[in-house]
Amino acid sequence: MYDILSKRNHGLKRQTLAFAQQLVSTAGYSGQETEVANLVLRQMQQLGYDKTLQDDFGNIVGILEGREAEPTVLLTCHMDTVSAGDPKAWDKDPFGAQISDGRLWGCGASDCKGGLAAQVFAAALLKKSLLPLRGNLVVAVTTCEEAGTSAGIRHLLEATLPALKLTPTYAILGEPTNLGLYYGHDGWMEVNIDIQGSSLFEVDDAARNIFDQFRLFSNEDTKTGGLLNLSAQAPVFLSNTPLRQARIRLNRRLIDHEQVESVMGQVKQQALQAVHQKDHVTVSVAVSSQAQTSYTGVTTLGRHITHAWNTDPFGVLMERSRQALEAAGVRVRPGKWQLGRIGMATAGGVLTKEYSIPTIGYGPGNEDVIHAPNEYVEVDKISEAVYGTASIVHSLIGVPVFGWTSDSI
Amino acid sequence: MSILILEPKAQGLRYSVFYLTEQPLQAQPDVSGLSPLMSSGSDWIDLLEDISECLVHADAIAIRVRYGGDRFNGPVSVEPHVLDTLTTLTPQAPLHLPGTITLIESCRAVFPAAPIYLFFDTALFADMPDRESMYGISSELAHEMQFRRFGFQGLYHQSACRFAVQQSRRDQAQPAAKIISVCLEPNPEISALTGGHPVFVTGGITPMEGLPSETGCGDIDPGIILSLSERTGWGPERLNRTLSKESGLGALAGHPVTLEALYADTRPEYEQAGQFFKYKLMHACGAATAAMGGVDALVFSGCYARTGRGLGESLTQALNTATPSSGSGIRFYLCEEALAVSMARALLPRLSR
Amino acid sequence: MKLLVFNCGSSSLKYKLLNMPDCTELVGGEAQRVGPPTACPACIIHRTHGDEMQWEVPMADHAQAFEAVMKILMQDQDLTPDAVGHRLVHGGTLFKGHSLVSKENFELLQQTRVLAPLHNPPAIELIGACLHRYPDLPQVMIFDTAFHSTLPAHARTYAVPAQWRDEFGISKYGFHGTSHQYVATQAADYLGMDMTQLNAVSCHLGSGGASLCAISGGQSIDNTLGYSPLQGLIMSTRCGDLDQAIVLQLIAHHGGHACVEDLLNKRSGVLGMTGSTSDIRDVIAASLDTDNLETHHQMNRALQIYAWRIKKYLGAYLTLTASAAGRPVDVVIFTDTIGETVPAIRWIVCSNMECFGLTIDHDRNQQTRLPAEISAPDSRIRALAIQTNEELAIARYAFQIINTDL
Repeated sequence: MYDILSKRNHGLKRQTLAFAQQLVSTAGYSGQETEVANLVLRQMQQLGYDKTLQDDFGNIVGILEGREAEPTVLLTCHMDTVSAGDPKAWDKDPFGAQISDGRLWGCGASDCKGGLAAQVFAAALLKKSLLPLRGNLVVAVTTCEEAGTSAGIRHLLEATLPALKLTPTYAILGEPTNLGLYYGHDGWMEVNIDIQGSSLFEVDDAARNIFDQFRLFSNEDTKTGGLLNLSAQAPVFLSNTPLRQARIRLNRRLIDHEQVESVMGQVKQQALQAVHQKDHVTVSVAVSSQAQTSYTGVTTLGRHITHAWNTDPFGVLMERSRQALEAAGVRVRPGKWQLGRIGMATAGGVLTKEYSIPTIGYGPGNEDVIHAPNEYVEVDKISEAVYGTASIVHSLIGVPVFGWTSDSI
Repeated sequence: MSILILEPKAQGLRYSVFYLTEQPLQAQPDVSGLSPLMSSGSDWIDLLEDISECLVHADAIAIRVRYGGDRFNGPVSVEPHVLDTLTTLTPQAPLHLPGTITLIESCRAVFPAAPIYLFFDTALFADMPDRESMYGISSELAHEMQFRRFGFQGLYHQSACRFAVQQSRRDQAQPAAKIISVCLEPNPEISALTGGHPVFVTGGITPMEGLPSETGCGDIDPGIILSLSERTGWGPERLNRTLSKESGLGALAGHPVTLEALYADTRPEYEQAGQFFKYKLMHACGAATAAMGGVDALVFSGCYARTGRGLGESLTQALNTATPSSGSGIRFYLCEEALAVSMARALLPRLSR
Repeated sequence: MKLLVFNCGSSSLKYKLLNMPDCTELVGGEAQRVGPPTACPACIIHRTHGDEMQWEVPMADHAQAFEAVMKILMQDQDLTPDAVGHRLVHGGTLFKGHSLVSKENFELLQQTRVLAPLHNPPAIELIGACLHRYPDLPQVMIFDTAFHSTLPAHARTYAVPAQWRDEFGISKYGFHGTSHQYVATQAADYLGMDMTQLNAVSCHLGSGGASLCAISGGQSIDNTLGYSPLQGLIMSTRCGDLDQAIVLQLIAHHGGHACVEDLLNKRSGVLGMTGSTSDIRDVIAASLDTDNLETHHQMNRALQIYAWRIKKYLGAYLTLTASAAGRPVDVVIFTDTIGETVPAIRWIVCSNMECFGLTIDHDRNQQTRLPAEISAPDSRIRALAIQTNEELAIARYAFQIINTDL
């Protein structure tokens, strides 16, 4: 079976890359994904997906229907990217989608457009190979992921898929893993520390002391060479009269099992420790949130929390995926995302913690080059991701082909 | 009248055309060839369009289908319910049937006026007795998962058996009734037929079981799979790949080898593999003889039928030693009739109706 | 000499003390429920001179069971053993023949644990306990696989990659060797033939496992069991031959290899086919009962499938042995529980085998006193039902080895 997949994949290489280039050259920041969405929808229709649709939140969903009602595998990527920043910082045009040195260069190439292209074509590969599926394959390309609230995927799971009577049994993210098989990562929380009081000077002093305190914590981290666990932004002032209000925004890493409430309690305590004149100022701590409007005009309020999550590395999903990649002749490298930069996240937390769907990541992008100028994705890895993803999907929902070879077709 | 016979292969679509006139069917097709698959995989319709360039029209099309389960015990003409049945059977032959369905649809598109007939390799075995087709496992599980034994070279066996009956009638004035049919193909298979009905076959639920093939292990101890799963952590897909593509005669010879070369070449590394295969053939022939309560003749078919010349000597000698009471001795025949010819012959009566 | 024979099960220990070389049984017995304590207490049942005694004795492992048995025997001077024979299921490629136990090969024996993880370890524990407690007591290891060490390469090989054959030791070992060798020797005696001239097919049909053995010139040349005791015939709860694609499919989608191992070893075979019984004798009785037609058909089908598999292997082995020897076999032997006591199976399996020169006589086949000749007088191949006696066989071979060593 793998020789069939491999041959067909070779035949689809040019098309896959062309699609990836089109994606990279089409800008789409969170809330402004209209053009990218249409591009994805058209490509799915052209590839012959059984069903394609655009939901109320602007997510694009393509379905390959299986012979039975379950299981269902969800392949998902977000279509939005972070801002390209200052174009002068880029050696190549961030929307030029140039290919050189075996790399496709551009904003969002690794996060997550390379992975997006790979997932859309992985389904196409299975279809073209005529391999029948027992269960359903859903390829969902979501909006509003990068802004930190996973609004798109939430809408997909809450409303869109239930309306289609589809409940994912397993989910595979196309987020950058450098083709490793990733089973989780730590989380992030964005917290607002609000300092209020009637005396401007006392509030400002307290705010500066709190800021210094947290800056000390984060410096200690970088000194020990550990991953950045904490970072604080300088205080901003939100009002003068009748009360002075200062706000410090804090980004804090969450490890698995850490409760949001207890972390908030910790932060508040640490903040209070820094305040000298406690009687004249009040300190309150809250998770920061933000209104998010999709390109289709739907607004939701999202909290800036990315949960830490882990899927059992020895559970069914990881085991079968590992076995499939091994059988396909592809290197297997289990691991976890490092999320070295503040604000990075995946939809895995929502999928595993809020919907109990075992989730893994397998994508061609490179975590080290995202959210920065000169982002790229390796062209060969996109093609390998198509083949690897199709192999994994087949092991989970394909009709078993044991005992048959293509030699005697 | 022109008949187009199609045999899907891994390398492409083999086609044979017969232009029928007053004479009886010739031994060879008028036109034949292989429309090759691109290295990146082609669609059947592209291959059919290539083929259609060399023939004006087809009055009938016959397609060789590798699997029909117990739903087809002979050739059928394609009606809507036939396509539905093929769709239902897909999980039992997942690498073949989806392609068959697409091929039928492509034939309709390229040759819209030609009726299409399907010839199944498993049809001969659809009515095999339960004692041969069933296994020592839970009957519920077997029923639910459609676990039952088939042969996968039925068309060769049928044609070979017919040939053996003809030849034995000529040689001995007594047509052979109990025939061991040895199909020598990259995936070889032995069947025992009494009066043309199979009572034994080496194939299994899939072609993996049975005689070792050029790349497949054939019969092995299920305990090996369980033991290796536990010891190595290899998943079932990887084990499947090893057992079907990296085992068999090639594994014993040390490099890929055809059945023909194994016996034509006298290389020392082929000695072990050659002995091994012969032993397995002998084992199956002995079992076949017990299944039929005797044996009158052996017949070899398949693309390596000629290799049966040497093998036939050894096998008939072994059988003659083991069954000394079988009269004038067991003979063997080589049937080199191409499948396309036997399919065309079987198709003719249906067309004249 | 007084030879003590041990036969370990996973939670039991059978023993017999025989006087050699005349082979008279002095005492025998069984330690039951050896292992972690369960609802019923562990006990030893001891038989002597027609009497049976039972004691409750806690035995947490086979070493303790060994101590307990030796204690019973040592009480009587006349029952003190002079040597011990152990049955080991699997010798792999390390032990091609039966051997005396020594410190060196006891180390080597440890490597065979993994070959039969349920059966070898208890026996190895026993040997260790004996070596420790009674270092001067000669011990012999008798392997179920040893008789099959003469299998030629083409019978022993599986067509799998060299790595599997060399590194993982994937090859056909065969089992029930002691039994096949024993009944073949008995058959040779019965026929007045030299064992080295004997060509036979031996059918060990037990209430647990079953196998056929092809014997040429008194040596095993093939066995239906293979790398593991799962291959070959349909057995009481084991599936026997099964398309490996199905094994793979079940592993992938029906619970993983541990679950499938349990299914194929313990819930298949006769039990799997009937859903109600693992005993072919029950199936034979039920096959004639027409009260419930559905069950009637199911039982008949199960009977056919069971017997058909044996028949095909019999035909195969008759042919292979004839080819190896240059002449048809001399005898077909039926042994162990089903082979010895169920004439219906012998009859059904051997029906329509005249082409090989084998005909069973219906009346002779009903004989219950063994050894019995069940073939018709004009049958070229003779057929015998012979009682197997593993403990006796172990004692004989152990005695031979000790005497050769002396």
